[in-house]
Amino acid sequence: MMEEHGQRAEILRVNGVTKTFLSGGRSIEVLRGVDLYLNAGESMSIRGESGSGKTTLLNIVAGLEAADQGAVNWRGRETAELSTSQRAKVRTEYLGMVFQAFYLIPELNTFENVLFACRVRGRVTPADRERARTLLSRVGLGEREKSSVNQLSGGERQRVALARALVIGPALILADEPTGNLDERTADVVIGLLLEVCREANAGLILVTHNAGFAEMTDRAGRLHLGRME
Amino acid sequence: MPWYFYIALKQLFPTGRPASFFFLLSVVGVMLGVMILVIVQSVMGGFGRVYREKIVTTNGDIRIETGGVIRDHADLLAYLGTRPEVKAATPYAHGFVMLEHRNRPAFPAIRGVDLERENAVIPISDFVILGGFDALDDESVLLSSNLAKSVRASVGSTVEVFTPLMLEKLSQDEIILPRELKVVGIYETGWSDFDTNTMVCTLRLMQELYGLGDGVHGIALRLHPHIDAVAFSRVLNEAIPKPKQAMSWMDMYQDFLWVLRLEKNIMFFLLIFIVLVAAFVIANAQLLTVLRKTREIGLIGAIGGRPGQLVLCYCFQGFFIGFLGTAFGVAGALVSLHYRNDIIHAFAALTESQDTLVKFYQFADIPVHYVASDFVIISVCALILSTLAGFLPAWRAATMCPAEALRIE
Repeated sequence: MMEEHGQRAEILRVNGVTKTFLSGGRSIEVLRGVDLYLNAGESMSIRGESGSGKTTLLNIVAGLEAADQGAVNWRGRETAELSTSQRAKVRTEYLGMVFQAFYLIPELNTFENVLFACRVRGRVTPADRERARTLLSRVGLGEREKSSVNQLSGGERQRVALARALVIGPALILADEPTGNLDERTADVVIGLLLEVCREANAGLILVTHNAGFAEMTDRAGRLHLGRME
Repeated sequence: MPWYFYIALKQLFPTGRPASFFFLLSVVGVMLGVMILVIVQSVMGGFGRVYREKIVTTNGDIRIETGGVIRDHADLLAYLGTRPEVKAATPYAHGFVMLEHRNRPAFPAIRGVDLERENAVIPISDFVILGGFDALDDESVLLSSNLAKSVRASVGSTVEVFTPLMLEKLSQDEIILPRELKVVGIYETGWSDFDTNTMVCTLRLMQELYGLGDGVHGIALRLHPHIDAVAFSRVLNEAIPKPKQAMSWMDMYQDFLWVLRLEKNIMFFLLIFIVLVAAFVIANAQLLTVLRKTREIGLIGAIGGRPGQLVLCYCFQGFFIGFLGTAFGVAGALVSLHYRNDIIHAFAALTESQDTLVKFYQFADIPVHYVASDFVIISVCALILSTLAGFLPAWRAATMCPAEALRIE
């Protein structure tokens, strides 16, 4: 079901998601009925202590992990109703992910890394190549498209990862502590860029961060505490 | 190109970097296995072919015998002359005799041949190394090289021959003198069955020695090229009256030919283990790759790569390694086989064993015979084993949960 919040279409709704892990014979309830929603072009930050379940929540939102209870809706489609393959297929068009550790593929150069998301989605078209080049220029790496990713700095790698997340034109970007491995100045640049390009692309953004300053830059800020969203 | 083939190739040939060491190692492993298999199978095939040629050359394609004496051989020869499959036919008589030269006895097989017809079926004159076939008459014989050596006879020697008929007469208290025959030639075919202990005389002499009258023991046939000897022997058996029976050279030597085939198959079975070891190298290298790339595999899952596609990715890598290894292995084998004699001669010269090769193996060159089915079987086996080797790592990659793979530090 798609709802309108103001002028924007809802692209994500999470209802009452719970998740419990077993560790050393003890069950740890990481998420205790989390609710959230996100509209197109809207950004939301999630803060929380280490181990508070931020990454688990993002994984459940991305359909990489199943919730014990509750539901996740992608543009009105409940993820639990989709098979693993169907979720993977939807992810190739709907979702862009940015990680703390970048996860670039070292065997591919900068341009190939960005374009790889299009390859996973299906056939690479000339329009995809053009879009990848535009995005690389947009993140300031237009001159480095043939460079090996091993030759890039941490900030540059994260910008490549950002371009990779955006190249498929996703409705939703999930960024899991994207500045965790970057120095303060580079982190400022990357977050500024992330918010800017998401806004330009009208993509929703969920930003998991420890940084209160970055959290304030998003449209809405949430905090995971004791498994609940505050 | 689908992403799973693209990333499979990129992991083997990264952009701007040399190919992976493990990949090269795996290709070399398959290459060596395939190369050795092709070389051994082709050389075994070569020996098999040489032996088959020797059998056919020294026996003819088909023999018709009754187990006794054939009296109507003229009619049979006339009938065979009408068959378009038959190139030539010759009657023969055979048996055993006791031969003596300078008090050295031997018990060779003797074969009486029709001087006019024999060479068209069994080119005995081509095998004569001393003397000549043309000198053969009813008072002379040709000896095989080993027989001549064992009784120390040579061209011009006179040998004494006793036949079973003479021995039978001796037992009836008749005084029988041995038949003295002049050695007019020594022959060597290269086929040990023939060279060890045989001699050749005229058909008339053999008929006289064995008391056959004008009878013969059999008729040897040479067929036109590309005529199937086994099939034609069956046709003849339908056409000729019993108890005459036609036997192809393959029927006559079926046990020996079976051993040849068995040897070749056993060599294949033993050597395929080299490819199997190479497959384990591939599996090992691929598994290491999967473990090293756990987080990348997690990423691929996160951006939409499906488990089945990951299986295809790593199985394709195994297949590709197998394909390259097989291609290089076959090419390496063909080059090695092309220069096989140069290699052997260089090795023999280095070890001063040129004479030994000829003395003990009766050849200085290695025969080779390329059989397309050998190449196909070896290639298919190598490709299947290599692809299966990629399956275990592929399965591991496919069953990884992306979320867990991404968490691995």
